[in-house]
Amino acid sequence: MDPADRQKNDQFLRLYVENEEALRGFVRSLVPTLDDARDVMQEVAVVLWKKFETLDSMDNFRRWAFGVARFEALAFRRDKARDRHVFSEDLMSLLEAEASAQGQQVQGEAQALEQCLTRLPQKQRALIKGAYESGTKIDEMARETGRTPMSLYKALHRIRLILADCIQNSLKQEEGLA
Amino acid sequence: MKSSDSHMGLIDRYLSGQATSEETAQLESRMMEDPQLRADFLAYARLDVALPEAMGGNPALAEVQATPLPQRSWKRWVPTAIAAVLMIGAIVTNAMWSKRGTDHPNESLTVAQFGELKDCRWVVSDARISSGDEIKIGQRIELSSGSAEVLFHTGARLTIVGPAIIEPRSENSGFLTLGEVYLVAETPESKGFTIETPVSKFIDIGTAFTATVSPDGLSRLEVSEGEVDVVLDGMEPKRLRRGETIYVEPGEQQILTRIESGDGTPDFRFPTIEPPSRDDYADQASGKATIRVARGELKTSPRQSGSGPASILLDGMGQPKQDAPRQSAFFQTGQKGSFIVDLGQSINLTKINSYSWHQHYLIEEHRERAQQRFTLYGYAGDELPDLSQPPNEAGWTRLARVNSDQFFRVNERLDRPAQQACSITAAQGSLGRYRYLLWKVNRNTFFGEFDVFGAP
Repeated sequence: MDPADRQKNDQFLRLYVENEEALRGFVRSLVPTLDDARDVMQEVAVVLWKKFETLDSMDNFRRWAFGVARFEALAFRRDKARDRHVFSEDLMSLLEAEASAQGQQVQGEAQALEQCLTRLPQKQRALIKGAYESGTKIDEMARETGRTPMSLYKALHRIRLILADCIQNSLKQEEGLA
Repeated sequence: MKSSDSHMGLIDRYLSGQATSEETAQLESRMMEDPQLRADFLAYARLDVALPEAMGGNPALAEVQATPLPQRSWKRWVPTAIAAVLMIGAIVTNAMWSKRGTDHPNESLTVAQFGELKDCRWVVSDARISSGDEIKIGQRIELSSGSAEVLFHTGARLTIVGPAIIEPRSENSGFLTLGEVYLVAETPESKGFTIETPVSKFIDIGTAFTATVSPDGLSRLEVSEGEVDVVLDGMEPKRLRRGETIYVEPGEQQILTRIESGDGTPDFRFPTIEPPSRDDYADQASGKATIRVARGELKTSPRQSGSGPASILLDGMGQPKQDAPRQSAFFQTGQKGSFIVDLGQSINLTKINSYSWHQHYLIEEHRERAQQRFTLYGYAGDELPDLSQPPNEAGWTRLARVNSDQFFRVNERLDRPAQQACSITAAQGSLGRYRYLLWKVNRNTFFGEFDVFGAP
C-alpha cells in the first residue's frame, strides 16, 4: 500500500470510528430488525469507503455519512422490506437531522452500557445475553426458558428500559462530574 | 426514558418487528409531534444495536474463567456477510472495552506482549504503548501507521503493519479486522496459530504467512514458508503451500480467487490451476455460449500486431507462443473495455478461469500485457441490463476482483509472470446462477482463454 493510500485509510478509519456508533443507532431506527441494520450498515460502510475520495471536506463527514445511511436504509426498504411496516420519509428526515446532531451526547454510551450490564442481576443478564446471541430465535428461547414468547418480549423490554435509564443516568452523572 | 410506558412499549414492539401497521402509524404520528419521543426512540435503537457488541466484547459478561475466552465463532460472521469494513463498527465499542480492560486486569488472560515498535501511531491518539507491554485476550490493537511486533507466549511472532486492527482471541489466535499482519510461528507451541478474518480462518501449519484484510472486506493470504490451511464455512480446509496466495471475497458465496504463474510453454501448466479446457460449458465447440465485446474496441492493425476476435477466448486453447496477438484478445492501447459471455440460459457456475500470456521476444521485461486486472460480474436475467450504466448500478452482481500485479507484488517489471492463470471458485461450490458474465478489463491484457464451468 502506498503512503497516500495509507493516509486515506487512516483518515477514513478515524472518522468512521468516531461516528460509527451514532450511525448504527440511526440505521437501527430506520429498519425493522437488528439483522436488517447489520445488512444496511455493511452497505453504508462500503459506500462511505468507496466514495470517501469524493468528500470535499472532512468536516462534512458526519453529515454526509448520515445522508448515506438514510439513503441506504431507504434503498433497503425499497428492495427488501416492502411488506414491512416502516416510517415515512418525513419522519426519517427528522430522525436523520436529530441523530446527526447528537454528536458528543452519544459518545460514552457504550462505556456506560458496559457498566450498566454489570449491575444487572445475573438472571436478567443471562436473559439478555441469550436474546442477543447470534441466531437466537425468541420463540425457541421462550420454549427453553419455559415462558411464552410474549412474556419473554416483555421481560426483555423491561431489561432494555432498565439499561436505557441506567445509561442516561450514568452519562448525567459524568456530565455533573465534568 | 422520559416518554410514557405505552410509547416505549410501542417503540419496543416496532424495533422487535412485532408492531402492526396501525401501531407503526400510531408511533409515527406521535413521533412527528414529540421531540422527546424521537430522542428516546433513537436512544433505544442505539441500545438495541449496541447490545450484541457489548455481549460479545465485554469480557465480564463472557464469563471469563482462568481458561482462555471461548473464541467467538468466526462462522457467526459468515451468514450475515459482514465485511471487514463493517467490522470497523466494532471498533468504537471495543476500543472502549479495550481501554477499560486495563481497569479490570484479572478479567482476561495475558497472552502476548509488544515487541519492537516502529514509528507507531495508534487510533486512540493518547494510547501509551511501549515494547514489553502485556496484551490480553480481547484487547484490540489499533494501529494507524507504522509497524508493531506482537510476541505471543507460544512463540508466535506477529508483525502488524498499520493501518490495522487485530485482537488476540486465545493464546494462539487473533482476529484481523483490517490491515496486514505477517506471522512467523516457528515453535512447537505456536503450531496451528490461527488468524481469523471476517470471511475466513487461516491456520498455520508450517512457519510463516501474511494475512491482509482490505477496508472493503477482501481477505488475502500469502504463504511465505511452510503450509497454511484456509478454512471457510462449509468446505474442507484448503491447504496452501509456500509461494501460494489466495483471495477471499466478502459475502455469502465466499468467492476465492487464485492466481498462478505458468511454465511459460504452450502447454499452460500451472501449479494447481488446470490448463485451458475444451470441456467447459462455454467452450465454442459446445455451441452453448457466445462472447462479444461490450465496451471498448479490440485493437485493430493491418499488420499481425492487432488483436484476434473475442471468440478466440472460448476456443479451448491458450496462445501458441509468448507474443501472439492474433491468438489473443486485447483492447486498443490505453483503452479499457469489457467482454460479455452469454451462456444462453442461467446456469449454476462452479468455476471461472482466465489465462493470459505475453512476453516480448527480445525484451524480456516487456510483459505488461500478461497482467490480469479485471472485475467479473454475473447477471441472471434473460434481458441484458443497460450496458451504458456502471455494472453495480445496472443490476450486475460482482463476483470477483482480480489484480494479478498486486497479487504477485510486482515492483519490478520482471516480477510479473509472463504467463498467468486466474481461477475463481466459491467455498460452497457454487458461484451462483447466472446467464451473463461480464469481464470489465482494466488493462490491455493478452487474454488467451476464458473457461466457464457449471451446469444448468
